Amino acid sequence: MRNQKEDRFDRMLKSVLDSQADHVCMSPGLEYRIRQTVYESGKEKTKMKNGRKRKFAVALAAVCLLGSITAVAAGTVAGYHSHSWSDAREIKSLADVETVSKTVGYPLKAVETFASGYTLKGGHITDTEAVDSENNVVDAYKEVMFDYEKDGIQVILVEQPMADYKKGDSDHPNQTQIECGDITLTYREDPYKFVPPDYEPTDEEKAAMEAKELYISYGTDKVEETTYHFLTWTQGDILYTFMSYDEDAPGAEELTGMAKELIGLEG
Amino acid sequence: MDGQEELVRRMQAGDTEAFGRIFDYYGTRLLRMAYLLTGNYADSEDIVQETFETCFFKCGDLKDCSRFTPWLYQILTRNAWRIGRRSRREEPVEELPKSRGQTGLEAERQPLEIIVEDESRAELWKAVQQLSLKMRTVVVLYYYNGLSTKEIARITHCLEGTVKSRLYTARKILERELREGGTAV
Repeated sequence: MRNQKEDRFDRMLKSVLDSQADHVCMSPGLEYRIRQTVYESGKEKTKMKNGRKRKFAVALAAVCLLGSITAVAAGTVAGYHSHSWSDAREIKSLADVETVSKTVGYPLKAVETFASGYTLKGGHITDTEAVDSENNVVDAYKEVMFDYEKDGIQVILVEQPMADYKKGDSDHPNQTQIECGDITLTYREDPYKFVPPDYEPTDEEKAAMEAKELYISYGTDKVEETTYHFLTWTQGDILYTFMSYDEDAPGAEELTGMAKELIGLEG
Repeated sequence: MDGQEELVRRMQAGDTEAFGRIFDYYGTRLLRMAYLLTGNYADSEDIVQETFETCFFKCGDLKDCSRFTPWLYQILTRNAWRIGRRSRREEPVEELPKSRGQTGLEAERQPLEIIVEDESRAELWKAVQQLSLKMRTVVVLYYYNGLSTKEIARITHCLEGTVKSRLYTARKILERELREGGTAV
């Protein structure tokens, strides 16, 4: 039989948990990321093979991750919240780029079709907030994400204002520098392993994760491995990022060729 | 949640609007559970994001739609155990939020009594955060979510006896911590 003291303790414990939980609220950024992942995947459902939905979701998150890895080292920015203005894409063709450029307030660079054959499918503006470990906003800006595609393979180009905390993680493994005139391109590969929810990483995998040599993403039916390719550079005050992630996706050489085409364009 | 089974069936068929309604209902609730389990807001966001992604992409695996809520809590718990284990814990908060407000009864209490109780609450939260993750999970599911030991056993994949044992031990640890902190109830 429970005594009065136990009841009082139980009430107090419940009250403490309630009051701690009460001040935790869903940020608009988190809500948007979750909805975007699901809605974008839903739209792509008809043309994506099993397992690709998850990879697409990770791809969206990975673009943000590139910066946040750097930012944690700098001790200021600990993460990003992003949300689009609307479900509609502001860029439907190259003709829309100039208008969007005026909207975001900085020059944008894009081509209709790269020499490699990747063709512009659309693009959209994202409002992004950089936050510190206590979820305080320390920077806010608009970034533009362009989708290019060739034979069902996607390449994403992100353009955003440069800031000190977005400078690269020089210690990251699988990273190389490519000189292009007076501009330095940084190419990086991140191996991802997609695994079922009950997957237990081996000790070797845990060590690789600690060393940033492997990223494990839960939620697929079977184990699959995918490498994400990133190419970043700064020109003027703009940070450019190319990202690809399919099995036959372009790697360093092809992405560098595409970067050179953009670098040669007038801003 | 009214009409939940129907919404789950629609979500299983890929209906994103149904997912949106489920997200509206469970979003903040899961985020708060994740925060109580990890004590870390950034981790809680990761946990909730992964939980909802798994919810949408893997809901086809759920055979009985009436079991959706424990299934969802089970995914959240597993994500919290995995992410919570790998992550460094944030420093416990020193100051409790003022959301309780001052009730008429509190206003009549002596200031010293209020201070002692506030200290007890702070000590208790600190002690909850120091429990092992599995023990803390049982405490959160029981006291915050108000689930029965039987329901918790299903979610955490263990015997009901194990849940009762963890609950009993957690309670004793928390009471001891309060006694040693000099702010026993």
